[in-house]
Amino acid sequence: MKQMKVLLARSALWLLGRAMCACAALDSRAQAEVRVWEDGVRIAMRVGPAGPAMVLEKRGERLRYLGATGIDTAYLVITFKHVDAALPVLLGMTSVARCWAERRMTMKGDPTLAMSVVRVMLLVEAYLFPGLITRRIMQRVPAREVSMARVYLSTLLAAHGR
Amino acid sequence: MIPQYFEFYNPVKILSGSLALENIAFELKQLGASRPMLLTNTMLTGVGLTRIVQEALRGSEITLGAVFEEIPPDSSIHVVNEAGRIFRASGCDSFIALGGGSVIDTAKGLHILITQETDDIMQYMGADILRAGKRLPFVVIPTTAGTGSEVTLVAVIAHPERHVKMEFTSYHLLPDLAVLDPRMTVSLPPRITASTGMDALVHAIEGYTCNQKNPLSDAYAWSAIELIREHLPRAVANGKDIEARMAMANASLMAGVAFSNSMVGLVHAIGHACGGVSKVAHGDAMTILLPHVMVYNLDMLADLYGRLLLPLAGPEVYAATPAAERATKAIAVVREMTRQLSQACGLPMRLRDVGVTEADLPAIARTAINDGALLLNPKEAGLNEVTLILQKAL
Repeated sequence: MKQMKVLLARSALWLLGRAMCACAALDSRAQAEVRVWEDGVRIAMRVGPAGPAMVLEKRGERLRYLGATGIDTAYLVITFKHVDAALPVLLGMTSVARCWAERRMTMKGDPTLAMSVVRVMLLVEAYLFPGLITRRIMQRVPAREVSMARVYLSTLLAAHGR
Repeated sequence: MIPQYFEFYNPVKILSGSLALENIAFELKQLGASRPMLLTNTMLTGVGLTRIVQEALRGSEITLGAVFEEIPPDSSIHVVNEAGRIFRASGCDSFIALGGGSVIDTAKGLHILITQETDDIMQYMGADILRAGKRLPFVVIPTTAGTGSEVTLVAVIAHPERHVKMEFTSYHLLPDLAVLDPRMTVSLPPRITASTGMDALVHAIEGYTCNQKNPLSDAYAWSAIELIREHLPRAVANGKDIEARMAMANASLMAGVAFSNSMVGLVHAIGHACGGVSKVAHGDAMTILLPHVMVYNLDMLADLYGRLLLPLAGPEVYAATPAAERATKAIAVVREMTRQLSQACGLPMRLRDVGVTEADLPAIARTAINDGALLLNPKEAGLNEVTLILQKAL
């Protein structure tokens, strides 16, 4: 069962990471957030203690998905304490704010950057999940600037890697 | 209501009241220390507080290894590194922080430097990433009644070159001892007494209403508000009122315990930004912003604000106010408290009174939405909402 959860978290992190890359290219609000991040900055999200991870790197105006490589050099590392803390957030069952309030995650790095990353995550959730789900975890669901299908296509098919 | 899940931690031993300072030597010995470093600032030394602490330690088995007084109002990584150099060179084995927020934050930075055996505390910036590390007895003697830093798990230290306000949040930053001695706050001027007291009130109100609230933090927040209602006006009116001073010291501490576990929200997010952008003193920002943020949060927090009318105004007012009107009455009570303090000692009531201009508002709002406290406010707020609150508070 635990292995299934880890597998699910790995897939969800893959989807989230690539969807953040897609939104940074397709959504003006995500673009504006990412634009002010320092070039070359790496952001990691992982599941502790030795679970799956994903790393994003800002290059130029874009975000690149690096898989699980480069955590050691990441400027911001958000760690879920265990897979059972990560899954509800990654699957849209609970909000990042609730997970943070319950101290189920840790954060290494600059909180200013972390807040910007959270805002991008909220935008991404508005594209990845239907309104029925997002209305349960957000007080105000961001309006979509492009279609969910376009974000999903970019997430699944575009070359967001190196 | 019991939250689905919460954490609560406060291991700080509290020495409160008459001759509390004289017990520090015994407590340090119990903790295995004999050579503490004293951290303070020149202003506190100038008004004689450092000498009182030194006198309290005289004749004991405790010898001060060093006294570090070069702590400015806003601590920085350079101050922490210099304190660390002296700590190591002097062979100290513990430390005592005597002061307000800046001195205590510096001490917490020093704590990271020594316990983690590092030369670069920046790598420990973040939340819940510190390991226990080397044992280092840590005593705090607050000289204001407001920050609650003697029992909180947070430290903020500037890195001027990188333009970063480094934030550290960890249970391992909590001191071993908090020493509340009336001699330490009795000479605080009325204006600072009022401003820091209002800071404590905001800690308690946000501690009672923010997303991490729980029954244990509620108990601390509630008692803190009761003490502040009764004793802050007294402490402002007569600084020599020892009972009022000790009540406020305890209120500040209890509010600190509350918010260290339930965390703070929108008042602090905007207040930190006012400090960062326009150099507004923290307590003043809290005083000015509290009623405006309460109005903003009202639709989400009417029930909790309504309950807070009891500690804020007392049983007679609470009983005489219809249930549906208690939340708005609580806000009115806060406004009236601020107005009375303003009349008594010049406490500012608007942002323009503390030098904020219309032109500053966009930068303050942009800074505020990047403050982690925003995530813990029960009602979401974005750039537009924060700007509206700032305009109303201007």
